[in-house]
Amino acid sequence: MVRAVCGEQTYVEEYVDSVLQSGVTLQFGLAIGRLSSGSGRDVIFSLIPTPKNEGGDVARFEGEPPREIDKKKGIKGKSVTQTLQIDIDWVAEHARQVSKMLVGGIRVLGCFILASESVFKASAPLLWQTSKMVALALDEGSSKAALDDLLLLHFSFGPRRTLCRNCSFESGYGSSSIRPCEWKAAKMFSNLHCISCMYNFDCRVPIYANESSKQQLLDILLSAIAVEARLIESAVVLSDGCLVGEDKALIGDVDHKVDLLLPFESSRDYKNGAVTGLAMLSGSIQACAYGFSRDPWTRVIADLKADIIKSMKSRLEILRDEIDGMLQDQKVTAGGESSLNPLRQTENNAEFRYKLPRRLFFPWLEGVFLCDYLQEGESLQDVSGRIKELLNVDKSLQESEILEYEQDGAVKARSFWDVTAGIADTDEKSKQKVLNTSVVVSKNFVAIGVLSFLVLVLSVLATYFLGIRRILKG
Amino acid sequence: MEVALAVNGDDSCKKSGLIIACLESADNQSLKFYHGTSQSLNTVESVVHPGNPGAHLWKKMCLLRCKLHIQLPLYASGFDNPSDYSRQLEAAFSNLIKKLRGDALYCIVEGSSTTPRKVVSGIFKDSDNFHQSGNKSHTTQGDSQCSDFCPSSVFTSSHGLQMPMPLNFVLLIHQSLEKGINLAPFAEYLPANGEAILRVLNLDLDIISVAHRELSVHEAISSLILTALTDQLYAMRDMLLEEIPEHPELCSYVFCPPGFAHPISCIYNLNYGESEFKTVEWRKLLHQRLSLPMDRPLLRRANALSFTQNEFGAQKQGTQRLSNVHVNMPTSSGVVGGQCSLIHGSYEYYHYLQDSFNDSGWGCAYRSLQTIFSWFKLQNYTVLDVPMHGKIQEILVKIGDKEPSFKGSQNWIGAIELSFVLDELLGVSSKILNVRSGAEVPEKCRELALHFETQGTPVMIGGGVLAYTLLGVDYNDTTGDCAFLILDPHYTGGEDLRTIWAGGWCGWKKPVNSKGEEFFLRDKFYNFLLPQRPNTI
Repeated sequence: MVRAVCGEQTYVEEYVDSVLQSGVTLQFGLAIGRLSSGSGRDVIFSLIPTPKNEGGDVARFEGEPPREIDKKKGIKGKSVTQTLQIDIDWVAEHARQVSKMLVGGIRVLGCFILASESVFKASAPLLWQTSKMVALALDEGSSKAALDDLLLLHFSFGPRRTLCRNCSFESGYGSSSIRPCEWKAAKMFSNLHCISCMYNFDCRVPIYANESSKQQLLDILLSAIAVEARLIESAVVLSDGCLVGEDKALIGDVDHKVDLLLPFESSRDYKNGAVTGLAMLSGSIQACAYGFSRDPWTRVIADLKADIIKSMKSRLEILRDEIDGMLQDQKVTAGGESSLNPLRQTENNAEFRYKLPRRLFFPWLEGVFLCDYLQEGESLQDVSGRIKELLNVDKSLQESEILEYEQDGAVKARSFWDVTAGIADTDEKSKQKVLNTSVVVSKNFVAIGVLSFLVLVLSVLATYFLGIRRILKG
Repeated sequence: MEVALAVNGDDSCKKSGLIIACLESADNQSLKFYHGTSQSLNTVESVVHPGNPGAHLWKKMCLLRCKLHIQLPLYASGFDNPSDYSRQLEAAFSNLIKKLRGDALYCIVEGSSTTPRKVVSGIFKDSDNFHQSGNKSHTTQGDSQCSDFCPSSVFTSSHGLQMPMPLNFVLLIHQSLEKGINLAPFAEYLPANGEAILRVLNLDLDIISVAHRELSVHEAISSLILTALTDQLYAMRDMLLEEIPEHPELCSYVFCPPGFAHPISCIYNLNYGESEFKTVEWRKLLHQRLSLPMDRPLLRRANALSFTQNEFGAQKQGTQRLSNVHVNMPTSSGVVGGQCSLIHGSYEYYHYLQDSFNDSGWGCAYRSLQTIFSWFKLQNYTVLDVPMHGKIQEILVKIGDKEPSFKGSQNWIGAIELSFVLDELLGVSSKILNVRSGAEVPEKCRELALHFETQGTPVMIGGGVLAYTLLGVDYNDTTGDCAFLILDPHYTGGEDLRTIWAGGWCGWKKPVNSKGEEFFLRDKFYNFLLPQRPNTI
């Protein structure tokens, strides 16, 4: 079966034309799109060239420029002595960063290269290798056995042609690794709709005392996400109060806001044992996924659920990158003891709370929103700069365009026993305290009352007797 | 007539009250019914349905069922002493119960596979609070009734009662509520600061309710399902307050014992096996509470209903075996003024050539044993399958009664061998009655009648002749006239009642019939195998 791919007319074909017009003859980057549901065509929404790595081009030629073939002398020289060099690690890192910005249903489907036919032919193994590194970067942390196939789009000039190929990574580079695909171009953003939902969660992982391998808290939280992912798989989805995804219905022509319902007290695989503490990941996530009008609900819901999990993981990964970066700097500057971020510690004694990066949505193309994460201390400018660099977007982001659903706020401090006993206990405790104090106070009042009464009685008696004495005397 | 009204502290009694049944007078056997609340006592009209009360009941009512598996983590500083963990346990349970009545609870109603599932939302408060809060448009016109979802199929309990399949309710928690603050995710670490042990409680709730078909689904959930779940949770909490084993596992099972027109549910602690002392004591208590007979197992886990179409057990071997072929037989015993003592309970008719196995000429005792085994199986004394001839021979070889060459042979077996097999497979002991001559059989009638009265198990007749199964006797102790209800395993035909009756394969036999032929031959000896009903619950 030949893979069929459809590219967006404006943002793929016309983009390439405009790049060629500006005189660029070599460009490498990523192709962003959506896999088909069923047997339809995969879709490429847009091309994103990989930004320069500290001033240097990602794809460049090494070696001497092509020499003229000396026809007279009959010397048969190579028409091209230049070899293509691609900064593979940088491309892979770009893919990883861009992938974090994509929402449900939209993924990095492959790479593109703008180059002449001969360059492509000569560098096919290198391009395959690059695609493989991109696939590895995208696959990071997933539990799949084999790497997904990636597309390799080749835009050539003189004559202007688009060739789409599929790279598979089952074995090493061979004759069947790069296979041709069917390609056509069309306009497709009109039929795309957004399904969004807010997901509240409260994920708890008990840390056992007798665990032989002390894990870092960050890794424990990442494994907690795997448990949550299983739960989310079993979630039931409501749209406008009706169950969806149970039959073969299509999502239709509008955007939808859905609700997720989980089974009551769904099990989270706890084990018996002595516990030294509780690691928790809680809060609300705004997730969204895009689908075409003719897509079935089951496909879009699967994308939405995958988006929730990916968002959780991305936030932890961003934190991990930042902490590791800080660690590197600390090691470089201060040779002495560096205080490890609590998430990276293995022995945990102190209570702490750490806000994860917050998700915000920004408009990308034709009403499609992508996302980015705002960390503590970052501003809109930082986000805008990141978007410009990673997504090759020209204009700066306006504050009014950004959508924020997750709220920033103070996290209430709570203790281990508060959380494990449940709210009822703290209410009881506070009620008890109030009761105790009121009892004490009322006891005091009673004592005062009794004393004052006694005083009154004594004074009455005293006056009475004194009075009698006087009468008796006088 | 004095009526003592005992209203317990439960608020719901203040409105719904109690139904009291009392005898009109000491001589009159008819019952009168009253409805009593703390304020008044009113007569209630009652209608007696002598025929099939179940059919009338289920025309208007339906069954609701909710199964819930909860894995509750319990943290405490210690689990040896109830004082260490009781507060945490109570708090954990009250938290669970609060969640049941919380804003985030949603419910899916499932009927048969043809009706689509429906989600019922809304806040399911306690009926008291519900009325006080002013009935906020929950009972709108669009509200559906239980009857919208009632499946049309029925299931039969092991005692032959037919009940409609229940409506299934699935509880869900809304994870996308947007009220108050939806804080962005944060990570926390909370150290225990002292001793903390986690024990996971596995609770399997299974509640069954009877509701009027016209009850709205919303009301059914809030007043029946959630109340029943809360009650079960409280019952489980009380069981755990007494002791918490290492891996607590409490499971609720649904039963329909004889004498009950509707199912009931009981909670068992799965940490103790079926035959352990604690479980047996618990079952005795349940039997007493429900006034069930104390000599037969009715509330074992094997008796639990699973709501499949055919509760009687799938016919694994493919043939539709007939059961209770003696019931509604057109011919009578022919004994005038006799006392009829028959087998209790149900059995299946095993005979020659069944299951495509040709045992004609030698397998009669084996077939009789299979009939007896089926009786024990249908009375829920065992979950084992009825053994085939090969299995029976295997057992006799295994216990050393027969040589290994016996296996695969076509040798006959007698009453003694049957008693060995019953003992080995079921732990059932048997009495053997030896009769030296067929002429002496009628003398044993009194003893056989007593057996059917007290034990009610089928009897195997073996000895020097063919083997038969005895299902009952009709005995007139004044005249000495008697007849024996014989089930003949030598039948080689198909599963057709009329043929079986017409051919006398199941029929009353007199010791000497009208033609003067003896059924019990005077020159042969007979052994009667009387399996004793295990007196266990």
